[in-house]
Amino acid sequence: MSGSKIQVAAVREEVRALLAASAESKRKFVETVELQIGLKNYDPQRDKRFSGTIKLPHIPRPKMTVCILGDAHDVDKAKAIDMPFRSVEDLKKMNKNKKLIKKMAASYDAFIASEALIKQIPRLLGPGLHKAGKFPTPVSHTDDLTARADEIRATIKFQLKKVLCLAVAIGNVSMEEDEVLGNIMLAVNFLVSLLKKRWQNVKSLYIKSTMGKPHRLY
Amino acid sequence: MSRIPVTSTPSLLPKLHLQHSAFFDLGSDVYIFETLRTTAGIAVSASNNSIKLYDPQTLMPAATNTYHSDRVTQIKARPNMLLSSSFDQQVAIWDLRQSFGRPAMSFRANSPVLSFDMSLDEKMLVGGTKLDDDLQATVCFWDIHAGKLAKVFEESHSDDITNIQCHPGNAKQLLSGSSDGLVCTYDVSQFDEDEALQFVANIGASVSQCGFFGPDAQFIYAQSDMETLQLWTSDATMLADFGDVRDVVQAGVPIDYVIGCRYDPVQQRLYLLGGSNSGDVHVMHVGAGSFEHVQVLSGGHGDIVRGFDWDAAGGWAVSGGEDGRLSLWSTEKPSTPVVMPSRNAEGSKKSAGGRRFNPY
Repeated sequence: MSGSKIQVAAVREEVRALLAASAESKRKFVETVELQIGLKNYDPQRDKRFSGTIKLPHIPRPKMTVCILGDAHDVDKAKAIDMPFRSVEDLKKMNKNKKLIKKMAASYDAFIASEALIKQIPRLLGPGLHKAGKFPTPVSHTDDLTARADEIRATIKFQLKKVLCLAVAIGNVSMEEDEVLGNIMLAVNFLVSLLKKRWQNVKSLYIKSTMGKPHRLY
Repeated sequence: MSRIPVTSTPSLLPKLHLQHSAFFDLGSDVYIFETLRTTAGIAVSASNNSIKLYDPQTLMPAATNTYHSDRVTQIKARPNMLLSSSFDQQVAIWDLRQSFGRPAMSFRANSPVLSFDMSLDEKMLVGGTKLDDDLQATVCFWDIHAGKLAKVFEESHSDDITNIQCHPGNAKQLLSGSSDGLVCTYDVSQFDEDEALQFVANIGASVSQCGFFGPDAQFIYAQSDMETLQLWTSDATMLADFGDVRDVVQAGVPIDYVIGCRYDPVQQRLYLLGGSNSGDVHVMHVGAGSFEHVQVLSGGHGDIVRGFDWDAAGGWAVSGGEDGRLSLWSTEKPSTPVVMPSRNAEGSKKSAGGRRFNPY
């Protein structure tokens, strides 16, 4: 990408160093790798909001649990691949009980729902899934459920609020060097493309594993 | 080759020409947020928390209002009325036939109000708030006649509520859009949140602007902060997903961001306004799966355009941007060309306040 201020080779070195450092100090959990972007010449009070989602080429959170709210057809598909599901009957039985719905919302990281069913969700569950930020995304009968779930696992949210620093979970330390690198390059180029002054709005770029030290990319 | 098919159809609309241009506040770097035609002239909100009214013919400033103590998040117009919402937690209603000093009525929320609208029957004011420290984003319903808060919905959104629109044909229906990626429609004939929630469209990314459109307002457009656009029916069936509309750059339309969607009820067409960082406005007609590029408005701005009020049938528009400039457009060709000054000290000597700039 012309004008890009970071070179793949240099980023690769930092990724290698980060992964090596993490491998040395074996943790009891798989550390997340975070991309930290410091912005400048940006005023969150008046500049346009910097917020959205990025679909990364390599899944950063493979353990993310996805449950399908399915019609009969999709429940069968879910059963065949061992995907957690709730049928229309299961949802009706909850009787709009807020505690039950809240518990279900908390039990899974994300939801998908059969197209035919999605319109009924407000009637079946009210706004029960909204507060948790877990309203489902639709799937059609021809969709591959695992592929749809993986799309969700590969999509990360980013949002700049008050401070001029954005942190996005770009991967984890069990990923291959190439995968982490690929995710970083895509995310950086995409995020910069959304900034009015592009690289003039970027003050710094770091990557960091949960327990590790920050590695500067820019 | 662009993913979104784009054709060039300049004949769709008569060409808009720049008529006048003025600075909101010479010598400062204030942004204009919104520009709106009202029955008392053009209302303009700016990043210094003030609202100004301008003469619609000459762009001379007629009145200034510094009532709000924090950012003005939205302004809307009704006959003889201007309404404003603010970070100062208020929604104010201004009677444009009175002095512009104090509002005729004001209503309070417990958090900054980011968006609002008034119901068709003018009985209800609805506001959407910022996510507060208790992780609550609230839809507030005020009874205008009683002058107080009637109801709050606290469950429907999990992040800032950036858009509220009351249905143009039904006083009990409305929609809300949020940074949580959802557009929700409600029917408040029953004022219970569980019962009122009708349909939910999951846009998949934080909603920047959304609204009803169509001859019976039976459709919804939704833009995200990532410059994506989707079209839905008002009962939440997705009709079109254009993805990142900056894709049209591949087809030769150099836009950097979306200014907004505007619906022309006369021709029944939805338009998408795309802007360049240098201040051009590209007008595109949105079809079911493609765009028609109609025209580009150049010379009115030198930076990102934030506000654009447009009467397509009437051949008139007013725009405002981060360059602090207010520009007036019409299908009538100006008698003399408009000279654009710069915002530095030299430029300010040549032009005082909102006076029309005459070429030598």
